Amino acid sequence: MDDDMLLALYWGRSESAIRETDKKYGGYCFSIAINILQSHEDAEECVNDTYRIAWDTIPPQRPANFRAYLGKITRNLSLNKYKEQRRKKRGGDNMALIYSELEECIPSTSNVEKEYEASLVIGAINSFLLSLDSESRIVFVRRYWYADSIQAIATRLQMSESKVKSMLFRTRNKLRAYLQKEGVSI
Amino acid sequence: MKPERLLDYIGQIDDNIIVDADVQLTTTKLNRRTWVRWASLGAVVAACLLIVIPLWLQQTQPNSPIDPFELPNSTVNTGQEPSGFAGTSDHNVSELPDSNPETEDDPVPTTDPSDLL
Repeated sequence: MDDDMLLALYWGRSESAIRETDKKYGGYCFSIAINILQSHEDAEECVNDTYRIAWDTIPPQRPANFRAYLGKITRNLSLNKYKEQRRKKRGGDNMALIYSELEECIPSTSNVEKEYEASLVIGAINSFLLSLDSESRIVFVRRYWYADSIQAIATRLQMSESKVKSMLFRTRNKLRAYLQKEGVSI
Repeated sequence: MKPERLLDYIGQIDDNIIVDADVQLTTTKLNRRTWVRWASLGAVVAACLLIVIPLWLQQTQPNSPIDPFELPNSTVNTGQEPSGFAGTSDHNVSELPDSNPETEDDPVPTTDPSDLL
């Protein structure tokens, strides 16, 4: 089933929308979640939450790229869950408590300011990625967007692990130089 | 904090870049590998043909050069008893049959030099 038909199911509020989405993109979403969470149970929970969010947001949304739309939801949910788990683990750490208490004293920037800053940085990262050769770009995105392991990238792209590591090292350095040149601070 | 923020920003990159990293390059890479595999196979087949075709032509064409070691033995029927080299088992030269009429005791004919003048 192609994406237009899938989106038509959501817009028609058909119950088969989620089942068909799971058939087509279940494995894709699960692979993103498991890479980040390293837990089968947590990953499945995130994938189910992804379907729920897709159901709640379509309509009114009609994503141009449904695959990337679902992937982004899964990635955000998984990263949030990962951060939450890490916070819980550090619960008994006195220094972590002190840091979190002091965080409240730091004046936060406004949402508009944050969004503007975010759009600048995301635009710069997009330009940077498009300036890379295809192989370097994919290695970078597989590592930092899909959270693939070095071994998984090497297997997927049929290259040695040391080559993947050196490509990532070079690309990270290039990104730093690019962001500095563009006057972007994170 | 900074790496986390950077990771969040990377999470919002262009949809096409995300999808390309999941689909496009892997297929491109695979296509390249497939091409290399087929080229290797083609080279092996070509090498085999280079060996097999001349051998096949050699066997099928009548005027093709023939290996002399492969020639069949020719036979000549003369209607006579087989003959050939008959060796002797003599151990001394004097034992050999000798039909020379001259012997070592015969006088050697000489010529007087004055007769030549």
